[in-house]
Amino acid sequence: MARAAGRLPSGRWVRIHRVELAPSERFAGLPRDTASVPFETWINGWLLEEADLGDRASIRTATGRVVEGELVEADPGYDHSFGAPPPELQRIGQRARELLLGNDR
Amino acid sequence: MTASPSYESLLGRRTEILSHSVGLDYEQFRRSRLAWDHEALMGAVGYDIDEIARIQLDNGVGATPMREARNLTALVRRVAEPGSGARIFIKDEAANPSGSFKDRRASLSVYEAKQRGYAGAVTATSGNYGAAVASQAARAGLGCIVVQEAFDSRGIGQPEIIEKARACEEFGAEVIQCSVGPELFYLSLRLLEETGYFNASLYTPFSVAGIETLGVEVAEDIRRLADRDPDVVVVTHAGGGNVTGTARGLRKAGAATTTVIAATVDLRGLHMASDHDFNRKSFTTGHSGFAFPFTVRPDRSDVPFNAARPLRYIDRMVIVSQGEVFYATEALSKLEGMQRGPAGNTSLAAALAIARELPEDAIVVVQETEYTGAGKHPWAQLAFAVANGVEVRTGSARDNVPGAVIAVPDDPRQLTVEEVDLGQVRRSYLRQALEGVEPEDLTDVDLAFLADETRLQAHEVGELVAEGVEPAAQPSGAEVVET
Repeated sequence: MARAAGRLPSGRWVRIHRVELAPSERFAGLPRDTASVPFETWINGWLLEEADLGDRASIRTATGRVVEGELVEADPGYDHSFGAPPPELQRIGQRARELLLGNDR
Repeated sequence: MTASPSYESLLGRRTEILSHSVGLDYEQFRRSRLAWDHEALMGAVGYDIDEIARIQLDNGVGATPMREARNLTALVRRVAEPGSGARIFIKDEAANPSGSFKDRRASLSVYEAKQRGYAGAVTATSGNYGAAVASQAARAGLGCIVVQEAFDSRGIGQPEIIEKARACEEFGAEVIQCSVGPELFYLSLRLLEETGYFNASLYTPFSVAGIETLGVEVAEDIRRLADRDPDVVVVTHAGGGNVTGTARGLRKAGAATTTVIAATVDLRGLHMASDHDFNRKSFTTGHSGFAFPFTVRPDRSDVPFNAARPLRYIDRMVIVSQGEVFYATEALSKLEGMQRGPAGNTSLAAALAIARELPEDAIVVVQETEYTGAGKHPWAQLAFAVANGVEVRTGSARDNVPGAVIAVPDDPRQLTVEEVDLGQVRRSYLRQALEGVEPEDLTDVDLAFLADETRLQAHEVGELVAEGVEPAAQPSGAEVVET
């Protein structure tokens, strides 16, 4: 996660974290593992007033809502990717081609 | 944001909030304590199929290519009995603006929201539907909030869901990423009340009617390409909208002899509300964790009456493994040059096994594909599975253990489908529907409704009720929201 040093100016694209419901406030009947942790949310938006990471801060979201939470990240982006080719998949194409060409026997 | 209203107070206003947010008074469709009029609800859409197609085309949706998968057909015939191995066709729904058939559902919902003067739309989904609503809302100039179940309590999210968040932000939506749990429904209600936005639920009549054009196109495409109706249409099944809308479209096109097969991925044994299980599944939709609850109890959704009624439309239901879907995804890339899915290839995996059993002159249609991208890709998803303690190895469907082992076939002979006993599913449906109802209180209107719901005769429903359907196990949590 991108971390910014120093105070973040208003207008910066940031991410906040909120605890929406403490474990004691959650729906009844949840599995024990889920019931024992809070229900949380993360929302991105533009910082309304300058703040430090870790501060309570308000943002304006893409729809214009103003939401308050703990400031956890500046310039929240994405680094999901593809990764390495699993050998279990690599066999599939080769085997299928052999079958199609009829030289599998 | 002002102080959040409590659960109890919000849930007390649930029906009011939901009715306002869809612009429909659902009570007008009620016919008795149990019964309501599905056709009347669908009729509330107010557009016929040609108008829907026009609205969609106007927004870049639909009229997607139908491709014959000749190499996959040839592969299946290599391992089939002589004379067997049906022709496989694939409806390339990835060609829609946001990359999946969900654009059909979103287009009509967002069009309706705009027509009715809503300033935006809220949708609760971790899947392609979020990007579809965001894409259509961008076009319509409406606000869009997508609520996603995204992270476990360690803050770790599946790459596929993260990719969906990225796509939604790309289209200008506000994305609210949640930790695991059905409280996402409470959050959505809160947002609907706060914003006054349209509830672009997957289960409104608009969302389901938007898929009917897909069924119509499938019939028309195959008539044009093969001069006949499809014998089988395989549909990836989770929340029930896909199978409901597609089957309704096929009927509207007059494809009366086509068999509709619902295919779902085996995640049995994993709890959908479990923080621990959340990242032990490699599929976030198209799986049994949604397919079974939504088939036996469709109204456990985020609208008063769910327009998606899978049991009314499914002719046959089958289960495939995650490993088989990864096989189908890889075979589609390597033999047909089409990089799609993986989750949307659930129906393709089933089709490969089903085509093998059918005669060569039969036609099997896979009625959707979805886009592939970073995170939403077999490599990323298998790497994530391994990182979360799931073993990945070569093997057949029976070697799969949801949440523990993904066994990927390396030979098409290993592809199978597991049949779901629809008789059992109908009983489960009745068990759920009759919870707290005394059999002697059932009216003819109730029985006729239950017969329509289960595709049984009214007297068969009556006999089943008289035999006594055991009380249903109480499901945990509240509503299930398809992701």
